[in-house]
Amino acid sequence: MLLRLACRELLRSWRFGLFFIFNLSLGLTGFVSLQAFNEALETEIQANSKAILSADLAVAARRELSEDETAKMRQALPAGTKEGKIYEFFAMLSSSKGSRLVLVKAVDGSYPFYGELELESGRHITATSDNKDILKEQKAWIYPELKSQLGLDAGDEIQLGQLKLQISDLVKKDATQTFRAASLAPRVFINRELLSQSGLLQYGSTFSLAHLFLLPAGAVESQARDSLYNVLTDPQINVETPATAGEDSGRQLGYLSDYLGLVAIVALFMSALGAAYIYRLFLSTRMKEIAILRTLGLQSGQAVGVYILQASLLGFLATVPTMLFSLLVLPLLSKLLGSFTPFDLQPTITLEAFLICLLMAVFGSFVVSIPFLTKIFDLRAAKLFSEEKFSAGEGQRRYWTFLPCLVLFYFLSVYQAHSWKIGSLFIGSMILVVLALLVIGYCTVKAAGLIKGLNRWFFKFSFLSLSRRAGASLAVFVALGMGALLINILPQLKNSLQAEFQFEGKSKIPSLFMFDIQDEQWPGIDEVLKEKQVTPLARSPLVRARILKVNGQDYERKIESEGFKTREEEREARFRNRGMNLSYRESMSDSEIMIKGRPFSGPFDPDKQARAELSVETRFADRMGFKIGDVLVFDVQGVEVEGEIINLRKVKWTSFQPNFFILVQDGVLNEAPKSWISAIPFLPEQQRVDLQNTLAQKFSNVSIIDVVRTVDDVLKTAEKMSWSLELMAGLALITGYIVLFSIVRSQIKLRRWELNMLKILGASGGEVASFILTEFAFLAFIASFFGAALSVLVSFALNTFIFESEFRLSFVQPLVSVVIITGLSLLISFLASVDIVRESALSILREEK
Amino acid sequence: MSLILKDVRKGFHQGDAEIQVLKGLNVTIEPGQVVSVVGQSGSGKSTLLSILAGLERADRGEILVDNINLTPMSEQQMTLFRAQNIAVVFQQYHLIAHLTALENVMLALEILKMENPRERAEEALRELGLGHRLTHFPSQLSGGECQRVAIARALVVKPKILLADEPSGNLDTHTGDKVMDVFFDIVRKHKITTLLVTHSEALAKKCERTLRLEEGQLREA
Repeated sequence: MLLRLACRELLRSWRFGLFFIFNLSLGLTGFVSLQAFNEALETEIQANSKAILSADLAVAARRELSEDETAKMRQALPAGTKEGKIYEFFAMLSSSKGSRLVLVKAVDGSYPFYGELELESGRHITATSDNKDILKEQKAWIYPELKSQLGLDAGDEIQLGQLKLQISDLVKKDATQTFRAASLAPRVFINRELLSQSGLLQYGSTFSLAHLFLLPAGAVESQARDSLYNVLTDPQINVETPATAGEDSGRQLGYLSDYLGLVAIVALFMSALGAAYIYRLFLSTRMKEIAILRTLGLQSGQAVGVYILQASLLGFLATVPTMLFSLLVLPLLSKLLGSFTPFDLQPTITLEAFLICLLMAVFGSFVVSIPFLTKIFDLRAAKLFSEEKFSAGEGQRRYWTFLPCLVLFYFLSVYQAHSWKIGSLFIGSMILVVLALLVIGYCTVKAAGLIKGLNRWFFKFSFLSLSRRAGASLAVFVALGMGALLINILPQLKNSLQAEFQFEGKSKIPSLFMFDIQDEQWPGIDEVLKEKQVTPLARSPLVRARILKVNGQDYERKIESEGFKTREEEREARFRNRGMNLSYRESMSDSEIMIKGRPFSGPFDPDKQARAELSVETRFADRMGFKIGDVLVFDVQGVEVEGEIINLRKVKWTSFQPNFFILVQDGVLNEAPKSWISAIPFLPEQQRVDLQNTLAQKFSNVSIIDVVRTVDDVLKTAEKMSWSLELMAGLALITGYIVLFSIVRSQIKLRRWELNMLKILGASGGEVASFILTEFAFLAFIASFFGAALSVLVSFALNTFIFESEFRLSFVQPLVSVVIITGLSLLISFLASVDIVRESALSILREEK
Repeated sequence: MSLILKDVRKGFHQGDAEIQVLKGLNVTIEPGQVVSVVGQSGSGKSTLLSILAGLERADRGEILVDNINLTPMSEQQMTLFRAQNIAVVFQQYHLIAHLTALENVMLALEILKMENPRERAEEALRELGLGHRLTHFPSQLSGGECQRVAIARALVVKPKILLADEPSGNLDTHTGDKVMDVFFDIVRKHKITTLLVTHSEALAKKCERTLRLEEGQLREA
């Protein structure tokens, strides 16, 4: 009976139903599209995970394994396991056409056990193919970026260290690469056997080594992984399976997806706001009928049940347009995001995405309706006896009824951001922004009622109407303010990011960054720099080490669990499992500020000090759980070094100066084996290229990063990423406008007789339109103005506290957005009201009958 | 202001069938006369009021107000003429909920750009015995008080013709009588030509003349 009642009423109020469904589905579209894209990516990564790892199992480290470790490793694996070995490291490639930092991948004949490399000549390189000419001759395969950047092509000669090679082919498709956007250096494939001739890997050089394994049939990867972890106890040695390799490779895109998810939540929030508003109006028109049903014997609980059923039914129906809208958005989203992956992604709406959508829509509709459904319990059917007009606007306010909605959004945010911290920050900021908009909006509408001296009646009464109908006005205000805030944040952040990296003559950002410099190379480098009249910015020693103990406790390897992990957990596991780069310097650099603790007491004095002093970068300390006073024991090339954290530092990483997570007091590591890092100050382009080529030719093992080019690449990637974010923000804004349209339309419908009454009192159609438009134009202007102003504050806070970069305010974008939002709001108000403005005032008489 | 109807006809289409509601009305109402129109539900009383208020066009015939023919007027001309000469009182008051009693009355004056709207609105409300309710919202007023505000709003612009549609229909007999007594006092005092549509024979008897709308024709009762 309840279902029949619910359906019958919905059919009768089909316009309300359509608006509700439309609102909800627009909000869900971004969410569902992103879900579908992520699933497609995950499926693709899973399907290609063995190709990404190019093996069943890999033992990876940033050092050579000892003989003992190698023996144990081989023993732990099942008989019949095949083994390969590859090295990866940065090096300078030189040629007659210029030099460039590249990532050298030195492989052997077994590479790749899985997947393939597709070369431009049409060759497909697999484990068993015998077309690997780089193994037979002095040849190399290069990534196509080197063709576009340096003009290199097949047949050209290149030099890597002491090694002279000929390019035999260009790589068209590399199955081991998953995130293409911001790679620091293009890859070059060479024969591992030629490494010793290159002279590139010297003591202290940074490289990654991977022993790749092809397990015999029937062997279980996870068991083999566990056996390897049992024998390889050094936390710096990582054992990777296809599953972990897939997870790692999807992570970078995952970060972007996290933020897209949060923007999608804003769209969802706005649609929930609109749906709630429409639902409130719908329910208020039904209160009299509910009261009548109550007199006929319907219990309050049953009445609530009817409307819960209705809300759920509407949610269920909202999945249909959501799916349709998502099918429109998905190709666009996958085109933008898909360009960061080598996969040919064809995402579709999967059953999982549909089920999530269904759950969200049904549960969301229910949660949104709770605050209003509880009013049914306050309903006094006795009011039907009253000779006054029936009114259902009374009843106590139950603020807790909004709590389920808040909790739902909170968990959604954490789920989307994969982070309790970011999810909480996001929801906290949203609440603050909404509260700020509510306060500003309330003051605005109340102040509007006090405006005097207006000579046109429609101005005067518009402002009065705004002030007296504060609830409805505030809903519009918040929706528009949020929209304005959203579209302004991204461009503001982008502005500041671009300003941060602006290369002007006076820029402090270096143009070249050098690493892997050996002690004995300094005199030669200094000579070149002197000749070129360049003074290096700073030179910092780099000492490889690993943490053995923290406060007396063994610092153990953290094996990543499967299933839902927050980004913080992932990060902690990664940081724990990798070696540390330590450095030392007498005083802090320009890009560092000590924020807690005391400075170093001077050079280390073993007679007076029991342990060395340590300075730790504050965010790193935060991630690792380090604090001042903690005692860390490092293994520095076999020697134990004990240190105590005496201060925490803040580092401006965007300065591109040599900086480190951990600095050790001067005098402790000075004799340890080390390499050096240095930076070259800003130089004009020709001078920079010239210097880089000279250094690359003379010191082939020294890796040089062209900071200008790298930053340019980063900015281009950020630009590409921001398109996808803007797509989501656009979706949120469209949702905001649909919400606005729904609210304006509902309000105007509710005030239909009032508008017609104005006509009967002598107002012309134009004056009635002006009456409505004045209200919404004023609201839109103030809301977008404050939304834009709040966006400046939020961008400032994000820049200062999260990205720790300098904030650059741009007035143009916010002001343009205020004009556009006000204009669009006027248009929408006009469209929503045009038929009522045009209708004959006669309807007021007809409604009476 | 006199009101003359000459062969006014109005019909509606219902599917393929055409229903003639008004079948040639002919009547002359003298300036300042208070006339009631009675008739059964569906007899066309509201249609007659709509046509007189210029909210609806007659299919045929002429409506003359002080010998000015309303029939050929454009929508814009009609709106202006109505605003300056005709006022309407509704059964359900139709006060604007978020405006106070005073603001509701002032609104009518401000739309017509009349001078001293506040003073005139206050005076109108006082005349109807609502001097102590000026700043109250409709939700804070009783039904009788709301109807008196609606009457004040209609009369404050000094209309030449007043059209009233069941003004006491929503009120109990006692309140209705009190409101209508004030209503009649004022329209007579200001000599406003009034057409009052009602079901109440008793109310009709208080008017100087009663017309019965029956089978699409107006007859003297």
